[in-house]
Amino acid sequence: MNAILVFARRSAGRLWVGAPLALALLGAGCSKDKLLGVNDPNVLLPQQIASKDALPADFAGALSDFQLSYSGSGGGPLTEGMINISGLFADEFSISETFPDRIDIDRHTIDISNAPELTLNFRTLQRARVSTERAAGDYKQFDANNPLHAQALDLAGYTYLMFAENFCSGVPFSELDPNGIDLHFGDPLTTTQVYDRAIARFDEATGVSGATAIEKNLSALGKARALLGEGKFADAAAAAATVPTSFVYKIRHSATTTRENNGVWSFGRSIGRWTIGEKEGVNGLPFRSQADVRTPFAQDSSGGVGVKGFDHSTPLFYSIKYAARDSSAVLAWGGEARLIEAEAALSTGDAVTWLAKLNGLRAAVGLAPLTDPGTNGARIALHFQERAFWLQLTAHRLSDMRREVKYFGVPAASVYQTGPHPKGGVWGTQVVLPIPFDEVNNPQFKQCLDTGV
Amino acid sequence: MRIVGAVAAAVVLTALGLTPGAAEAQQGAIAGRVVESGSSRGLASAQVVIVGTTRGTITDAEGRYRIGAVPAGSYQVRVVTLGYESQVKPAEVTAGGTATADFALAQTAVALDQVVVTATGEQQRKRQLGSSVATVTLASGAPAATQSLTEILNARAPGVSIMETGGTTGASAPRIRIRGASSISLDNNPLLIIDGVRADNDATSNAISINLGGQTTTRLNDLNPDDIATIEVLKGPAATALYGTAAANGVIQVTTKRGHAGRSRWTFTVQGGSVEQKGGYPDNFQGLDAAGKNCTLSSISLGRCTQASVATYNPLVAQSPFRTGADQKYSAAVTGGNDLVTYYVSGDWMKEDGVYAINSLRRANFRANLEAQVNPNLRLTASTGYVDSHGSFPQNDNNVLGILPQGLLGSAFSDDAHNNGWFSFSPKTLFNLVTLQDVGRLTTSGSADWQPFRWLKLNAIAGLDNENRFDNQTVQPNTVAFGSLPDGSRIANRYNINVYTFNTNGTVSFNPLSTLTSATSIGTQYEKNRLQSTNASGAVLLKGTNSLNGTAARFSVAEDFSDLITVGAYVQEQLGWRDRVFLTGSLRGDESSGFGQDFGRAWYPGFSGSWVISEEPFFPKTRLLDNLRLRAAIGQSSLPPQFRFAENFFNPVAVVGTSGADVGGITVGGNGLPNLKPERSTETELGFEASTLGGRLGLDFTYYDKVSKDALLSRVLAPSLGEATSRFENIGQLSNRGAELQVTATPLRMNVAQLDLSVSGSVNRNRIDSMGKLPPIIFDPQRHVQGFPAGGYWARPILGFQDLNHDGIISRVNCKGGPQVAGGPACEVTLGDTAVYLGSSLPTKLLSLGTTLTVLGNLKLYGLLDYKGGMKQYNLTNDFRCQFQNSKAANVIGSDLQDQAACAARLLGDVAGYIEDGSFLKLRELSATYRLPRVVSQRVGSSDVSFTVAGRELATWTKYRGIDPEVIQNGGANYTQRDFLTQPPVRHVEASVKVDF
Repeated sequence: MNAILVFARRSAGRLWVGAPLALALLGAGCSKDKLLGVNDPNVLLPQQIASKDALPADFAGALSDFQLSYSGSGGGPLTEGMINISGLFADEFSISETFPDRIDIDRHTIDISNAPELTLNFRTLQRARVSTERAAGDYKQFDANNPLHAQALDLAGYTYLMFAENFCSGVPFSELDPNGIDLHFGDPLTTTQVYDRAIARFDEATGVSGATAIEKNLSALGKARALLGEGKFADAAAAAATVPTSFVYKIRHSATTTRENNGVWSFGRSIGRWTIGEKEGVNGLPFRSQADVRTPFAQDSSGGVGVKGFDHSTPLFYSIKYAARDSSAVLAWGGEARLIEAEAALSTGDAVTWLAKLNGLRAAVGLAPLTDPGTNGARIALHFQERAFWLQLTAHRLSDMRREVKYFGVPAASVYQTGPHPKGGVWGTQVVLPIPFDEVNNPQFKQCLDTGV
Repeated sequence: MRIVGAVAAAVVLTALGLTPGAAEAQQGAIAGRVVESGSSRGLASAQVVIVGTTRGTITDAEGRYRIGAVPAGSYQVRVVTLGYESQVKPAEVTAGGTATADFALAQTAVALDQVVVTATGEQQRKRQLGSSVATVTLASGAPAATQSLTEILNARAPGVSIMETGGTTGASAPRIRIRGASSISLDNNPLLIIDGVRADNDATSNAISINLGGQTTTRLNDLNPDDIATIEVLKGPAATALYGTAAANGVIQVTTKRGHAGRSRWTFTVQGGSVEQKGGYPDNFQGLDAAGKNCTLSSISLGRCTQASVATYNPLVAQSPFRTGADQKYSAAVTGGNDLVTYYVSGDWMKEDGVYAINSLRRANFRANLEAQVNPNLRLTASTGYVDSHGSFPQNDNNVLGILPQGLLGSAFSDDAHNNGWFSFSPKTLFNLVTLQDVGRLTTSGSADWQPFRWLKLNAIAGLDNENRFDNQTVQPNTVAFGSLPDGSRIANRYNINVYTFNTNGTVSFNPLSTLTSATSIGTQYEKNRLQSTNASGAVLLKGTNSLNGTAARFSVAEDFSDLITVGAYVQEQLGWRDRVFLTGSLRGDESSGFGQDFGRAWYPGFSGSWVISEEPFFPKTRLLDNLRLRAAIGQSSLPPQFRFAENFFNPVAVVGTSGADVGGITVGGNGLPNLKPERSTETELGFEASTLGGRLGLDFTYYDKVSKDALLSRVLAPSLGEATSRFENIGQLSNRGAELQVTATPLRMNVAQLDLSVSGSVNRNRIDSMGKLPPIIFDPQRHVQGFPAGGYWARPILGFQDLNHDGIISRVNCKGGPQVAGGPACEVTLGDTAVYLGSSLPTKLLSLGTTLTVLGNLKLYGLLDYKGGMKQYNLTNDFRCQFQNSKAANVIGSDLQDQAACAARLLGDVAGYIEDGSFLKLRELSATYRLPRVVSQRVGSSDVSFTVAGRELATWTKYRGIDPEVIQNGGANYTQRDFLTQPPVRHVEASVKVDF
């Protein structure tokens, strides 16, 4: 007991000295905000962009994300857009590089758990969808009649088009709650449902009172393209009819920053990952040997990668459309409206209208008129070659191949690449792009609903 | 030389407003000599402390010491040094007199009274700690074959895994893991503390900002090893609870050398040696048919050709891009002082030329450590180190412009048509791609230890680690024909990183009972870690210029910024009973700017107990067990969310607007959660230390169980959200369980020779206990999967292979997923349908043997064997050689069937054959040091002269089929582990002379 008392007395004696000391030491921790305050000059917070003043930056950001998803970038991050990925999967590009996952895309043997390039492309396209829809939403809130409101909706519509045209059935669309915390996961949608979403955006854009001819043509052509994908040929032709052949909407690039660089140039001429396809996998089209004015290409003799691709063995040919880092990429061209009209005619067996539409376009660039090959099969083949040449490297070719099989009854084995692949193995049986593995982080998603055309 | 000491003392005293006359008149001194019992050899760097005070010193090279300005009175003086039993002796100090206390210490394998620096800033004896602390004492300098902090630590501390990831001079950041990887997504590097203040050791901020292909830099090895006095490794939360936020990965605590009172003593060291490639690069092969056309095994299986011959060529041998590098090091240090002021001042300059003509590192270190005993109760310490380094690095690894890839992926022919055997570029061309890094780094601290009463000690320390880094690269026009490089370019990235520390501590000590001691500590800590950088680049370079001023296009600028502040306060109570039982409880509370705004304060409790049971009266006194201490500890610490982890934000970007002009836009930057909290690790530790056979054999055993809850998992966000790639959420749990054993033994102890052995071993079991029901995180072929080790290897297994048709080829023809050839060979390699776990990417077993043979007291031979096992290595180099079809397995009929099976599986899309056993045993160090007899050295005016020859990376034994199993393409990566065209560690052979005056 004595010991305890001694302990208590001594403790009390020390405490009167120790306690102020402790308080002084802890005092440093009291002014929390001052001590822990940090600033962050490099970024913007959501509350900083929720105003009418921020709309131009909002739209510009959406346009930038769309650029990455469509024609890629040379950096920030280095991204393969849909022109690249779908062109590689289709016969527009052949592989001239060494990365296994890109070889898998070219060979149609994509392993979704090891497909970083495809994953980035899919993620970038989803990001473009969200950015364009966010910009559209912000315009609707702060400046609803601004033509850029319609343009943002149009761009959103084109992101849905690219999902529907290139990926398997079953693409989901999820949302981050406006509170920035909760995740609302979307169910997989069928390809038709995705096309319908695109159409809804185009229709909404058409309804923006301030929309100019640019936005209206973009909407009409996009809608026509979606209807074509759904196999509604007559409706597609009707939608396309208002679009003048002279209409062009380009995604612009710049040499200023690597992010603004054209990704097709970057992965093509600059570092030689892909070369222009030539009768790839037996069924591929002759993009080089045809020497067509619509598919201009060249080969560097020196400078850049030079005559060989990244793999140091495959001859490297690049598209003159994408000869420079600031080359623009055509997203929508009025001539496609005539091609849609031609396809609608072909679908009904109206060979005369079909041929007239094709030759009308050819005449404008001095190409000799085509003659009717006489058989339906030959007309279909000719039609899709014409489309392929006109629309080369604009992310149309894979959807054309799908349509050729799906609506025109041509066997996939006669449309898609086949036989031995130049990098080993044989061409696989994939006919659409699969949804990358990362999407399993969406609990509503399992796999593609349908991996057919 | 005495002048230096006098000047230093005068400077410090003047700064303090003190003169020697200010010393109290009623003071004396304690002095003496510490020798080894039996041999009477003076023991250098022994710690001498006056018990119950903050006063102390260390012995000089002859074992002498002196503690001045001691108030008259009775004292107990304790001496401790590694490898010897401690002793306490009384000293009666009289005014103006010098009390003598001499010590003769007996050797022992277990040093219970060795002191370590704790989080409170005070020193404690190991017997007071309930947790395991590994201490590496460099009393007589760094081990002969080491040139960096991590090389010193490697294989010398049980439970500490250091992978020497490459052989690029200055750019092969080692991977350090203490008791496994604690975090799934956060940086697993330990905290680095130098002389009491935080130093930058973040993998991201340490990494060079210009791509080298995978190799990266680290600031961990900026210190001059000769300046290090001790390295203490606190291995986990059981030991680091008082360090709080950021200490969950363990703490590496470095104390630099201090001055000795007495005359100035100079040490000069000159070292030089060679840096050699170890070799072993494989030949390139090409099968040919009779017409000279390519005919690989794959083509033969497909029935496309008949092989007639095989061409081979090895450009890395025939046109070797390597050189035998060289290194030099010159250092000088002086220590001295008087009763009031001691100093340690050193300078060193080193250069190392690596095995590539463009690879080098030049580094100069300067250090000045001063201690001033202002009065008997107040000691001030200043510690300042400055490093100036200049590195020059090549490209390698995952890099089409890498030097090794040109050879390893090259051709089997040497003619012009095959690019002289190189893949794309000759090394000579790529030597035009030089990346430079200049670093100026100041690490400085000042501390005050004030003991106003015998029962009250106050301590404050303030410090700054300031790093100014300049990463830059110039590519002259038309030197490298790739991408845009022919235009020429310049990159200039400047970094400024500051880590501020301000700690205070007060400890109240008293004896509530004659047998019971109490020490209560209260303290605060403030840490701020700020990074600012400006990155700029331009292209179309004016030939001959070496500046952004010479660029004419494609200008790019960017800034980076991060700021993380943590403030904490703690209280600790330690009770000691009869100096053999110690119980310690502590609680720390932290707030951090990295925590989410909806999260408050983090609390970290700790509790430990230590019982030196062998000192109990009931414990049998037997030679079979001289000492036995039991210990247990449990504690928590954490890793904090980093800058912006808890924020939703947008990044500004440049974009071509609708007008065609460049405008500013915004894009999603990050998705953060406002309730984000630190990742909390709890560790339980049990262990004992024992010595037997008269101190000749010592055992130090620890079992630990470490669980990281609320793990900050980088949750992959479904792409369909259209947001950031991932966001951090507190949803995971990761555990590490294991055991460590260190055995120290002196099997031979004679006058003519002594043999000392040190064996360290540890095992670790790492598991992801929970991923919050999230799917696996895949970074092929590695995955984070619940129930398996973090970052383990996964692939479809090779179930079997057989050369069914006896053609000497393992064919994939007619295999599932392979080419189908009617009438072709049957499938000869069978793969599983789904990926399975193949093994850990991190070592799970560590074992090292250090042997020292001392002959006649003057010749010391040392060897260090280092085993790391239980892990796999992804041989991506051979994987690519298979895909490029230039490997032996792809071309030579009858070549190793296992290699062929790996290649066949690879061509079927499976990498399992290249995930190989990565275990290895290395003869890490070998050295011989001869110390001149004192009579001889004194003839040349020196007190000590020694000569050393040493080698590092001398031999490797492994089943790994690549060049070196230890390499990591990017040592800075958290888990990614692959050998991918990586420069393996190089061999160093060194000779040095050290002279003391």
